Amino acid sequence: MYILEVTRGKKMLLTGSILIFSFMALAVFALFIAPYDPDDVKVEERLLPPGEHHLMGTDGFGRDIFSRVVFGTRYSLFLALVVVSINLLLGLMVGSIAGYFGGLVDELIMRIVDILLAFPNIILALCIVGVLGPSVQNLILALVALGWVSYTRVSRGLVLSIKEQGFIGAAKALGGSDMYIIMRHIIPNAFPPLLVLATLHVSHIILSIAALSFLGLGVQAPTPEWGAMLSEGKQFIFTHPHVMIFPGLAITLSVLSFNLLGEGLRDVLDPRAREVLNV
Amino acid sequence: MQLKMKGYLRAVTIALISLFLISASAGCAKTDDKAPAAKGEKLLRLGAVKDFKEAIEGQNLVFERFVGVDRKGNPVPQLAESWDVSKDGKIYTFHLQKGVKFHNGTVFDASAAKFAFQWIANQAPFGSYVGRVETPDDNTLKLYFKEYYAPLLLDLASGWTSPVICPEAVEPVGSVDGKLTNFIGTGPFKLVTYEKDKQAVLVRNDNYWGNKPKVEKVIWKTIPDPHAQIVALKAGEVDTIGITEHHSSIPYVEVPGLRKAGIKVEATSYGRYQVLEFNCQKEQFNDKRVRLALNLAIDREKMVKELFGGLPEPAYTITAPWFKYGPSNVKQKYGYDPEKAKQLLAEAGWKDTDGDGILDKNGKPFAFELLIPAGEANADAVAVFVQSELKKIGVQMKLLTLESGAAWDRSGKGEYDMFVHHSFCLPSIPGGIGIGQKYHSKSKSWPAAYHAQELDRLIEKAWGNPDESERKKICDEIWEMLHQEAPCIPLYDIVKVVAYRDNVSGFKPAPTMFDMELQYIEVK
Amino acid sequence: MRRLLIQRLVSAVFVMLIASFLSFSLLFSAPGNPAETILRQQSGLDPAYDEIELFMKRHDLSRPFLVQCLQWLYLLTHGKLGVSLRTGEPVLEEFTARFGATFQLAVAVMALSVIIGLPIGVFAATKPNSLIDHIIRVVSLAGISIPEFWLGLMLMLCFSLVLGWLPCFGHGTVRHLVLPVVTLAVGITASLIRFVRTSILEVLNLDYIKTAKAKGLREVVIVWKHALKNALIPVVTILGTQLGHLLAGAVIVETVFSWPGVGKFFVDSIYARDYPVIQGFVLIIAATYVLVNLLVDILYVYLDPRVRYEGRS
Repeated sequence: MYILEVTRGKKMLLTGSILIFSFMALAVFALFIAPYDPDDVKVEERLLPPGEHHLMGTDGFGRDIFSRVVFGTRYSLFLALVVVSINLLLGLMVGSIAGYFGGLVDELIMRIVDILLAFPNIILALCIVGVLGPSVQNLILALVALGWVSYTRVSRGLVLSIKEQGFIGAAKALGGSDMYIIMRHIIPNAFPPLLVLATLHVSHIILSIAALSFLGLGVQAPTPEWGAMLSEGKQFIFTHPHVMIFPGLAITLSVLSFNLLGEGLRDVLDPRAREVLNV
Repeated sequence: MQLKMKGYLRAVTIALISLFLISASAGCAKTDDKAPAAKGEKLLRLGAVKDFKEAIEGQNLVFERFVGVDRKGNPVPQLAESWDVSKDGKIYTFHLQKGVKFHNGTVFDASAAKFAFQWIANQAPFGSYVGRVETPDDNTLKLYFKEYYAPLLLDLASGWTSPVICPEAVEPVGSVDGKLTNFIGTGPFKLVTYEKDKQAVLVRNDNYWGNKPKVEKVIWKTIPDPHAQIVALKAGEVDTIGITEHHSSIPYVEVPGLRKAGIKVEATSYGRYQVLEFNCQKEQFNDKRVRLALNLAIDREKMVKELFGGLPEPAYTITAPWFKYGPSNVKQKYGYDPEKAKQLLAEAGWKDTDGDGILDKNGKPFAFELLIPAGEANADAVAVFVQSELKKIGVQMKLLTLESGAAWDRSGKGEYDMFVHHSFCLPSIPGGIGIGQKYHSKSKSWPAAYHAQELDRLIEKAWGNPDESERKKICDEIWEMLHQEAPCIPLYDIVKVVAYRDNVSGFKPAPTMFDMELQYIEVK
Repeated sequence: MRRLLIQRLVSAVFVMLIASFLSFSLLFSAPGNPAETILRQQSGLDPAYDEIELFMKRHDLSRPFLVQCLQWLYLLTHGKLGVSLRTGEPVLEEFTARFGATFQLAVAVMALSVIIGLPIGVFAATKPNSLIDHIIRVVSLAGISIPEFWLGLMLMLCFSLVLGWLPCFGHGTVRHLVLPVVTLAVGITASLIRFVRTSILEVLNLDYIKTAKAKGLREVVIVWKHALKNALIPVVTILGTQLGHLLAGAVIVETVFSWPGVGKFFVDSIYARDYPVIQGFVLIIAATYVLVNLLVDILYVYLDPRVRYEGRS
């Protein structure tokens, strides 16, 4: 039964990887793939339906939607990967410390985590973006402020189970310092399962970026970011739905590919890690 | 345990299903709004963006004011039948309408009027100017001011700050500091039921002293999303949309589609312009040649045609020329002349010396940022258009959209290069040329707008003097000066768009964008 | 159990107070003045400076930060959450007036997700690696990949505008409930299916189930009676979190469908810098969140006899 699971996991892994690879290629070679300048305003050609010249039609300013979607991969993928990496590292550090030391440190950190989890996301995002102004850096900051807690939780759980294992006791007996044990033994062991979580989280972050941009709190309007495109195109939803359909499909497809990758990774991973990730 | 478990599971399942059914049937129990009006009842259903009590338009159905304004800004009688002003402008005598009753039967007489006025003055900025308030007889209200306050009648014409309320409308009853809790006014409609964020039901006030409405009942339905409004209108769930909004809630791009679907669409101008305000303290815009050049670089004709299907008119003056104190005699209007614009910029020292397509001066490129408050209607579209127009004359404009509160915070501190907003309109003094308004240096909200001592002097002269014909002359001078200085880029006239189904007739545009003239409307 | 309850409740109160204090201080330091924003929204005109000052004076807004915090705490000890700057109504009333709609939506979404998601998840787990399992898995993956707000708009486009079957806004009848519920339920159902499937698969691999199988128990009995019970733990967890989020207000969906719930009012209040509403709502939302989590933890005890909460979990 496990063998079957693994082959199917591989199939998902493969599909996801191919899709992500294609998106990466779009991002890297956007300049060569996009037929038009994504920011070229031609009001005479606004809101053209999909057709020969414009594969996905044009938007409210006569900009080529296909070109904008292609350039949009840069923002969504790049931002999501940066945010997830920061979240992963930060969460891993804090979570390891909490799990390893336990006691008061653990209590303190977990209360902070509780507060942040009970805190409505939108306020935090609004305040950060409102105080500091909407920019890519601040968007990253907001998503990190919201995201690191879940990694902290999971890594704390992982660390707690790793701590019980023999080799940690051995390392301690050998006189390894706390920092050494955390860096050398705890983090390397907690990392692989977290990586799977991170892959699945990339998709979550892509969705968050899109939602924040849609609310006007993320990437700003003229930038060809998918969420921002949807936000701009919303006024045309009933008259010219193609403006809304393609960026939305792009988001869905990119999210799906990361989900396939994460799911595939989880399937081929060892069962111990799967157990931790499920709960 | 297993048995218990099974029972538990069953319980959970049953609970969930029943909750689902309850929540569904709780909905069913309510009356179906889609049902047509009962037996010939003349019902008008309004689709509104805002909650009834939070919208000025809603209040204006229930409450009236002492005075109103016409389209141009002349005060007209409402609950004050007529008024006299002393020569120094410090004593106002209001002669009140006779035979007017509040919805609860209380008579609107001088003492009720005195209460209402004091309640208004208590929360209005002009309150500090008010001295004694007297009631020489049942139908006269006499106001003594400590100082002349020019915009008094316009302030009283504002539905938001100056509703004439009944003493029983506030909590505690009759207190001039009271909180407005009951919507009891003298207006053409009485409020019957109100559900927060959902709807309000109003019926005709059959004792209304003025022009009685033809419809018997009005339902105000709150539908915040403009697209949902359009679907609701097309589906016949409401009879009209857009009428309850001072800002046009109907996206201009939807208008052709609505007309095609057999819906009537009316666009009315209220002289409110969308405007790009310069920060005149920034070095780039400290030169009137530059400000004028940017004004001449934008093809407004093309903009309204391409972006809005020609629905609104392009704007070539700072505010509508047809206002009572508007810029009707101005010679300097802002047409489209990119060559002249380039020439003016060259005169001001902006030339493209490094050949990168962007003008520069002293080694610095001509680049600046346009600040857009999120939610400003059409601002995104206009910004991108202006951006591409300015690019053609070698000026680089970047866009920055900020959440509205944050954006206005910056404008109040003068932290912007250029700011998009909409101009003042009735019932306040149009164009921002009053004392303490945009172009007066005392304006705390606009420290970085265009200011000049001479301008201050003219504004103070115009609005410190009760003589109206004199004021008109000075206003002409103000406009002449302002237009030469080009303190902003007026873009187009923000029209109010009202759409209604073919069962509605008798629509008449109201004098200000905050009113609705429902009196003439008939529903088949 | 009682010790746990008390401990959790005490920490819940702390979490709630700190969350609402944090939200106030964050918004207080954010640019934007409540007086100016609210006056502009209400009058549709640029408020004069005098008007702004008057408004601030009337609402005690010019007092120092700490004084305003203490004032709020003082009110709270008297069981009051203050009055909305925007509407002039008590914050608690503003909340209760809207919570019904949000609750209705949340319950309907949860119910629909459980009714659809649970059986499908179990079914998929009983036929691992079959074609149907494969399809269920990919479809549910797609389900969690669709952006909620976009799905809502697309459903509205399809069913309200093109087909004209369902109303796209409003609140009241079952017909009004369909589109927002479906929009929200797609993602939740999909993730539920995935969770149920994996956790049941895992349970099926445990020794005692294998023993049961070897003993010749029917598969239906094994799956629905033994496996599901254990699989319910992760399911309850995810439902708890989702419910917490739904009750906090599905902001975007409420906006898209003009649903008169808590979320939309809350966001509008943030934009208006309506401090008392924000503080009060955060307090209540945090309370709901903590409460739901507590309920989930209590459910654990019933679902899994191994969990006893002797120490910290």
